[in-house]
Amino acid sequence: MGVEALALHGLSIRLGGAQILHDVTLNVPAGSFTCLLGPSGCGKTTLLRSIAGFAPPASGDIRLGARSIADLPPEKRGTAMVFQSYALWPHMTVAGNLTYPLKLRGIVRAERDARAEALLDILGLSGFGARKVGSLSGGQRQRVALGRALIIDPPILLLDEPLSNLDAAIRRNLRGELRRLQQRLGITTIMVTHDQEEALAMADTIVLMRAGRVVQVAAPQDLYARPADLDAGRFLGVDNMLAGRPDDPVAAATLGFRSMDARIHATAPQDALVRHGTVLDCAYTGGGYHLQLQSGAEVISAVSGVPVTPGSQVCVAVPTASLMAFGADQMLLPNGSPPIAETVQ
Amino acid sequence: MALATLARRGAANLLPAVMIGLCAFVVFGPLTNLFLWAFAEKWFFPARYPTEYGFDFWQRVFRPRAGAWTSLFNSVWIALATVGLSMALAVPAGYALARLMLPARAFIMLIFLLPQAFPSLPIFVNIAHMFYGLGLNGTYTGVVLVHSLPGLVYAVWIATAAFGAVDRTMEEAARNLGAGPMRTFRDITLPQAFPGLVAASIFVFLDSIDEFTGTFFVGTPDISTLPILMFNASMGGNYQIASITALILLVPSIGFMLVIERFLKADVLSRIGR
Ligand SMILES: Nc1ncnc2c1ncn2[C@@H]1O[C@H](COP(=O)(O)OP(=O)(O)O)[C@@H](O)[C@H]1O
Ligand SMILES: [Mg+2]
Repeated sequence: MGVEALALHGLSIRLGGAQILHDVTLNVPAGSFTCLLGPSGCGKTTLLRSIAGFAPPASGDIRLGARSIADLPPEKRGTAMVFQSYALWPHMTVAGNLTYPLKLRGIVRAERDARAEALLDILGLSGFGARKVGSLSGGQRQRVALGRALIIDPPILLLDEPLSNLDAAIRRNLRGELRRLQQRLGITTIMVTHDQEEALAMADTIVLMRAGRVVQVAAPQDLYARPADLDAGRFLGVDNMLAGRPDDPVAAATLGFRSMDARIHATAPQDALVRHGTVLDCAYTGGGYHLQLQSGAEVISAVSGVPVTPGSQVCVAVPTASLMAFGADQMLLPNGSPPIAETVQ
Repeated sequence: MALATLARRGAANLLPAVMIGLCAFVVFGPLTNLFLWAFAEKWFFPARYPTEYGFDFWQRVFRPRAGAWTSLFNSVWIALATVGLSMALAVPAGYALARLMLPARAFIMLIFLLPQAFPSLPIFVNIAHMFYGLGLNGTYTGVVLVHSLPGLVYAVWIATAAFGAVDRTMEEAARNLGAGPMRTFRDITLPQAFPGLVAASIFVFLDSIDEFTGTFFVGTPDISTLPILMFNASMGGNYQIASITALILLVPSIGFMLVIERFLKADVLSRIGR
């Protein structure tokens, strides 16, 4: 069918009397890997389901390539979705699940079997064709669900938290695998996740959502270094939000930074945000120590290479390059934030 | 010490054994009596057990003019037709109900159960009256309709549960990959609800085979089923004939269950409860 771009224009969705999505506008370039990232309940699944045709829009348009698909029934849209529960059919074998979409398209038995065989090879499931889906592990089911979606050669692939039902170890492996597969096929992919690490590791573009709205659309590095507002920052692991002071290196109502960028110093360094405080707590975290400091009315999280006795007075400093400056309206300030290159880990 | 443990264990085992024995007596006691009667040639009052056994009455029952064969075939055909009619209505109704929002569904199902709450006799008398006007009295159609009344309640309730247990995302997955609504129903929903629908069929079949009151009011004297035959024999004081009919009544029931079981693999049957 060929790879196609997806565009949402002012999409609003109401379910059971509640407005779930508010005026979502989004462009997903052909062949890109886009992650919908946001806390649980923010409407990610609903957005994906509306693209697949399972949540009728109250207003707005959905375009796949040149045509509008908003009024088509699900089976006419050609979107291939992998459901969070995988939704494999337990009364069919693995091969039966994989070839059912081909059967619907009137492809003859011999070719169906050949294509299932080839796909099982790609998925690392050779010889599993005759197995019942009930006998597969979580990771194997996930692959079968993915294969079943890919076998129709869809213009767009929709993944709803495809990795969240798996063990942490398998998840890390599959992340890379999924990303490589997507790049090899060059298929336009939208993946839903609530795991920022997953989104940062996999996506070309991250769409940050909150309460049914799109908050920010950015490349992973940009999103990580420049979250659009305070809430976005908190969601992306900016765990320190301090009130700005006149003598700070960057002028802002609120200064945000991650605890790993805040270090203990004997003397206050140049070109850095500096605060003094009393150590409340010092916990070993493997590579180093995680500190909690009381600084005036604020509590600061910081790291240290050596243990620090609780109760001692210390000086904590954050390089200006690692600071995020937010205005009184809680939005990120356009200037005074670090250039992207310096925050790449 | 060891002896005390053994005694305690013995007592612990004894209680369930006694309970099982009691249950067995309650279930099989009357059945044993039935068996004795079926093969009793002579059994008069003071005798505790039959004084003479034989197959004399069996021959009488199966004589062409006695009507046992006709009643047996009637019973089976009526039961099969009742299953067909009930399921034909229960499958779409059950699916629609299962996909309905909860308060409305609970309400409709309750309404549906309401006729069962009334004593059946006045209902059947009324139906007989109605059928008389429609010319359905004494016809197979009439009897099948009257059997489908309780049959439908079973069938719709069980079918609703069976369809309700089918994961909706599995249907959505099929729609997503290109199957229309009917195709999805046929290929995904129906196979998964199938064990439940089979269970519903078994219930409807057994209920119809056993049905007496409705047949009595709507069918007799033109249509005789095994329960009617048995009733007539009992009323005539002929316990041998009644018992033999009762035993024959077991045949289609057990036969139907065996056939169903043959067609169903064990793993499918085990999903009925789910
Ligand atoms: N069918 C529905 N009817 C009413 N509300 C729904 C329905 N589906 C989802 N919601 C609500 O929409 C919101 C977003 O849900 P969802 O899209 O599943 O979020 P996410 O996938 O981001 O966790 C939730 O508050 C949820 O309760
Ligand atoms: Mg979700």
